[in-house]
Amino acid sequence: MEAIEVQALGRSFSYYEKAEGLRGSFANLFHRRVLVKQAVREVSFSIPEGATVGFLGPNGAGKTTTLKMLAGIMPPTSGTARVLGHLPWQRRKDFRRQMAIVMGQRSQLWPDLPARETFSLNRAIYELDKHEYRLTLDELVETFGLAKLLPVQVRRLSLGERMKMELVASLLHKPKVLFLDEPTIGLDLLSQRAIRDLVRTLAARWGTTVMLTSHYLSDIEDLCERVILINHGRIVYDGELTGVNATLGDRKTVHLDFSQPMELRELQNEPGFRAAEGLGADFELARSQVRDFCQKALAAWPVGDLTIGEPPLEEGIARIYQANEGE
Amino acid sequence: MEKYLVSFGTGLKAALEYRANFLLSLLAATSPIVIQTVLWLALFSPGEVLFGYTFGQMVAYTVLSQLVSRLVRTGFEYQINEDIRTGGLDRYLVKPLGYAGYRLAVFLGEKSLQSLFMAVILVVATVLLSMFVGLRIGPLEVSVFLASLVVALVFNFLLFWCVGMAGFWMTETTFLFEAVRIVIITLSGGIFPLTVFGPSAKAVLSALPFRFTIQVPVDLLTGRMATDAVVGELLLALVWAAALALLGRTLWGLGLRRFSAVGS
Repeated sequence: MEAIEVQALGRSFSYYEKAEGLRGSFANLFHRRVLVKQAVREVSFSIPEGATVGFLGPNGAGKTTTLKMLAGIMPPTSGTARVLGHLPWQRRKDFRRQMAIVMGQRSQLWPDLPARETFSLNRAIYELDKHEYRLTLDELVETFGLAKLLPVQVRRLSLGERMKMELVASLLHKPKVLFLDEPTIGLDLLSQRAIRDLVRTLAARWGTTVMLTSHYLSDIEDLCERVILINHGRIVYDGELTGVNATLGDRKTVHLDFSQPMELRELQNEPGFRAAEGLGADFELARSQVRDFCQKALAAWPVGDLTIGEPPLEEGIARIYQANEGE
Repeated sequence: MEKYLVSFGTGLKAALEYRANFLLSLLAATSPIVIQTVLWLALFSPGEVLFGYTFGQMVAYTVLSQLVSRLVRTGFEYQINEDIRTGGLDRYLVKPLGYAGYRLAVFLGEKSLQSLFMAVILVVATVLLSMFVGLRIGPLEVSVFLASLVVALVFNFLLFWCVGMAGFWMTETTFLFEAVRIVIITLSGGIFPLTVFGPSAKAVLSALPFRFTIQVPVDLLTGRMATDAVVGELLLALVWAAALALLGRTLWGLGLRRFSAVGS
């Protein structure tokens, strides 16, 4: 069954334009030019129950707006969506009890109290059975390794610890659908990895449907098989993560390590040259050319080591964004 | 309604974290009392009756109105404004929770401890005043006073809920809230008894509902308002409260639509 179904979803915002300077400010008092920004355009996709899907895009691409519509925070201006069979923006109680949204830059924890106070408040808000709540909390606290931090005031926690608490608070009612908006923003690498591990573990254990936005590609690579790329409010790619690079036209990277320094000009003249640093150099070639290139390189240059790989995912994504830019 | 009880408790626990703030707020209550008493000392000649009050009665009014005004004072409108401005309102919209009920519960929770202290001070002040000023306060006065205090609190919550809704349309509301508060405290009789403003102004102010928050409870306690008038007065206050509730609900609906339209 599909947990999330989105059809031609669109959202526009109106805003005011102000001319520069004091004169503009005064003019603005009497007449405002209203402009319309189309934040999300004709977005359609569906996500089956239990899947974890990455939602990726540059700043202002429409990720958060889409997530907010799906979480019921704002209605769309066109199109429609169903989450767990509900129209999210009707905000039926039944819907709100089955979903959760975690926004990396917005905390639901009471800063001056220990996190467990917020937890028991959430227990009451979601009308959870006390025994059931205990079990879930114990499970989460153990999985997240937070037992020692439960009695600590939230504002004394580190950013990473706070984010874990934030997730616990949002998971206590075992939501069927979980929206994560930049859950690892501002976290160090270790904390980022910890958060990812937890999301993966819990989603698998509870069969939670997860939709995740992130700036960090490693979040998406680690958690999602499927990725939806959005740019200028439009979906530009929806499919397997491994398929992103196929849009690059089946290319390979070749990294060479030389046993002695090379003339930079000689390398630069070689087709497919990308960069050189120290004793290493990078090339990017069509798959069909790789064999010939390697043979030639091994014969002509003092090659100590040779690695063939995939172009980094970032590049595939950047390429997709650029292709979309002209439209 | 366990969720609102727990919200109340959480508010109370949070308030306990701010003991210094609490003591300062008690101190803050004394300065207007001192200033106004000094003012009345200068204005009253011995034995004179001004605006229908003897000097002793005026001091009693000053003390009691200040304490009552502290008891019914809100503050949650700043939290509402913060929630709107920063977009933090999102957090509540996605939960199975009524925002107004939650804010009311948290507000009462945060306020309860302070109110308890205020109530103790109020009892002490009442006893002292009845000893020195000759107020006669019996169980009937105390019970109608308590009833009117509950009504005043409900009324004030609704009033400042409506004021707080301004946050949906204005980015900077600090001055608005302060200005509205001062005007409303004045119109409620929180600084002077309404008779000070003269007969015509008093007639207008008596028709307005603000006096229910301060002057009416104080007048009921001091016996200046006949206790048999209380039922009519409190019913009238509840009618006003119902009107405010309706207005608050409408503003909330409109504001929410606007909130999601701007997409903060």
